[in-house]
Amino acid sequence: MKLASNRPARAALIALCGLLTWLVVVHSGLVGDYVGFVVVAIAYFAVVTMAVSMLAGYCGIWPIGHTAFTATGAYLTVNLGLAGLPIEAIVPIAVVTAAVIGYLLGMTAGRFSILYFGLLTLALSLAAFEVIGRWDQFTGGEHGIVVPAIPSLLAGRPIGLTDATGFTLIVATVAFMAVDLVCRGPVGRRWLAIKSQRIASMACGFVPPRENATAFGFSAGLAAMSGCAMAIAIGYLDPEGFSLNAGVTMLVATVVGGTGSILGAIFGAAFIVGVPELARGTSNVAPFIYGGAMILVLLFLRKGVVPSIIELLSGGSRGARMKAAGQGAARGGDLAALVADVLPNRGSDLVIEDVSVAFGGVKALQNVSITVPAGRAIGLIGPNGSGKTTLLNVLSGFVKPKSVGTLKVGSVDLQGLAPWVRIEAGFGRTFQHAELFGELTIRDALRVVARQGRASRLAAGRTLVDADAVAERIIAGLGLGEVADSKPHFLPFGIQKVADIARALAGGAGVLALDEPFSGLDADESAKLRAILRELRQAGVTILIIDHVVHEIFDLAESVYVLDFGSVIAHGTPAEIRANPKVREAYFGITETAEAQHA
Amino acid sequence: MGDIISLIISGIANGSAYALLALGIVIIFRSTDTVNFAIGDTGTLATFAALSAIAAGVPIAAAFFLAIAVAGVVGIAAERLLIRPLGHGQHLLFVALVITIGLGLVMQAGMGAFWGNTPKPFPPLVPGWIQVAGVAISLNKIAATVFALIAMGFVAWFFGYMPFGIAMRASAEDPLAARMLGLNTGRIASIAWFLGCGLAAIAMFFLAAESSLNPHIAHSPLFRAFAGVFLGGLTSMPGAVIGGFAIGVLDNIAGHYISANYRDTIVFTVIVVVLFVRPAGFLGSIRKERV
Repeated sequence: MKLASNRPARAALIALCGLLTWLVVVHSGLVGDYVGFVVVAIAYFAVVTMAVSMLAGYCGIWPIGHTAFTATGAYLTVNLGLAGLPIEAIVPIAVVTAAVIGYLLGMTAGRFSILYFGLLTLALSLAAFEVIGRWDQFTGGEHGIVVPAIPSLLAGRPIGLTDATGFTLIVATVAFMAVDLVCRGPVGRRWLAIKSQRIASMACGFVPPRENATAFGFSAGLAAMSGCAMAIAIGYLDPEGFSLNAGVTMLVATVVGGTGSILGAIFGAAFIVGVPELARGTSNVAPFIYGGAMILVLLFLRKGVVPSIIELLSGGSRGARMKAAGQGAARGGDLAALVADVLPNRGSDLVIEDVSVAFGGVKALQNVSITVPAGRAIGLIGPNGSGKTTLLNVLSGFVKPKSVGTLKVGSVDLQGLAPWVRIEAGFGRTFQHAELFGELTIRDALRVVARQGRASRLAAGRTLVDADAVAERIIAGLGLGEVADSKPHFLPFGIQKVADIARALAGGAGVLALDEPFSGLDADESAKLRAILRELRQAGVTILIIDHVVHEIFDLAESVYVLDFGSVIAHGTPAEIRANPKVREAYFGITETAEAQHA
Repeated sequence: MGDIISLIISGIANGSAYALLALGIVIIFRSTDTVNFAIGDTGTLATFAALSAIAAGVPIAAAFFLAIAVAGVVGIAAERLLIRPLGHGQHLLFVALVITIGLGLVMQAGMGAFWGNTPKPFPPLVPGWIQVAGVAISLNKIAATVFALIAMGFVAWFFGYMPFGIAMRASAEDPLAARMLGLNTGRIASIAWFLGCGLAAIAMFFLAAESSLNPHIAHSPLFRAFAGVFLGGLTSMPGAVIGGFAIGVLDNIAGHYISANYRDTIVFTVIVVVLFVRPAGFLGSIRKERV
């Protein structure tokens, strides 16, 4: 557990493993040439497998044609080497070239859906294979090209096949250290957050298309490193090594080893190197085993072999323990102090004027105007389908309104702002189903979200700036201490809803829109949530609360709007709304069934 | 000028295979959220089965329908055994996709082991050539295009007028609502996979009849079909068909006027440009993610 969070120690461990492998293979005399060759092959395949596996594990993107990037690394090594550049310059150039191509492609596909990454890389790999086959002076065409001896500044002489072991192990060590550093840190947590809740992550200030493209660029760079090592280790580049089949083999290694894990990548690489070696002499067995292994692992060990083993060893008990964690710890400190310490944008009002939304011919919202004065709580009720959540999605920037009069948080106009910049204006929201980041613990999620709000906290002169400190403060303030190290799906729904509010606060939301916070909670959970919301209101947080649990709204909000068929049909104090015949007709007759459903 | 007309005509003829595959991909994707990478190999496998039947004395026309049936049944089995056990969910998109890649590998290896990796001669459905606008086109290609259009017409009729087809479209829009209305989603998935793979069998059958048959024959047409799907949008059936034909024509024109050596690269460049301009394709719609 300690090692898992200590990045320098992990980096040192990776370096040590690399060094030990080198000593055993080159200097111990225990290992013959053949085994040495196999180890080197596993090492360079492990790097490209890691590139694929990191994307799959941290971003949910499966690149099918990473061979295009290994080819970039390999052929640049040959050609820049021929031009007399030292290997110490070639590798960075190759990495940057591949990363830039990857980033640009990522921006193209990332704007739509992660599925398009898969299809786009397939196309890229076929195109790259074609170019490799034809571009004779760069690749030697279909006959391939011999890798020359490449000058090296560190070695003080040209390096070639005899240096393969050392060079490949250095490349692999550096690559794994980079992966560990990036993926185990805030960047990796952001990627996981986006992977598990793309929509909710935008409301927290993350930019999925950009993050996906960055991850893709990083992964492409890693693949290029593998290509450089491949060139030196094999000494001859055959176009077949970069065919679509080779790309699919990387997928096999990723699936079998398990995504997002360094040990998994090494295991997967050992699998794809080992199977053809063991099946020597029997023709065409490897594809059977590859395809079969892929299907079986995905059907029965979804996470892959290594993560499944690790899970087994660490005991499935963690989940059980967290389920028993119950209702969470007592809250420490009052929320007023917390709000004063961590929220950069207190005391903003929320003004919505004349918002209309249409889905096709359906008018979801018609000239809706709602004002939430600074530091007050306003309720919004209405039957299912009346447009409540649509209004929230307009505020979040997920739904584009047909027309808007005003949409402002404090002095900031939200119109036309991307979803991810709205949190900077102090607008935060929660979700009906909490939509927490499934692959992060509560603590990690709050930390990574709190980083987004760092600049605004600094600018606003808040006493607490450091993201980790803000996260701890919020964990203590909302009583999440006991559950902070568990992942959300182990937790009771009531805790998840509190954690959702915690996430919005960590992002710096001084104006909070709550989507059905009380739905699905038992009496005990409701009482806790009620106390938290009251304190937040008293501390000056502006709250727009949407719910079907009307008595909670009447209790918390000083005035209430009623929405029906996309229009505001009533507005007044809870007492006035309770007495309003129009509201009774539109709404109260059906509360029971409406509460039971989550439309 | 005569050049361009002939290029367009033969491009449309080539494009009919891409359009069929693209249509199959879209039908399967809409019903089960699975991008089926094994669709081409399924068609190839069915064509091999047809070839064996022809060798055993079955008339070529009967073998053609046999191929459709085999592909359809293999498709149903694949969905039942490999895709349905995965369950539902947005995060499973890629898991399902990768499983079909695995299935494709196994199929190719299996065909190689059973029928061999060397190209097998395949009898043309209709032998001979004719002149169209000054271009010699094989009758086989004409037949392929005509059959492709008939198959597409059937699909359009099925989804446009048959109650079950209309139900399938509704189910693709909102699977949960469809289940609540009592539509049998399992049966919908089976029919979609039967149709999709059956269309792929038609495409692969005519491609084999055009030249010869080998286990890896689906590679390049599948890539072009995907390009067509990109152009038309992953969710639009007419888009896929138009996209497939457009890629056929584009491929031909680019191969003639720019470079015959860089056809894949040109197609790829077009995809990237299209994605930049219109991420959802020209007829597809961006799926609204639910909040």
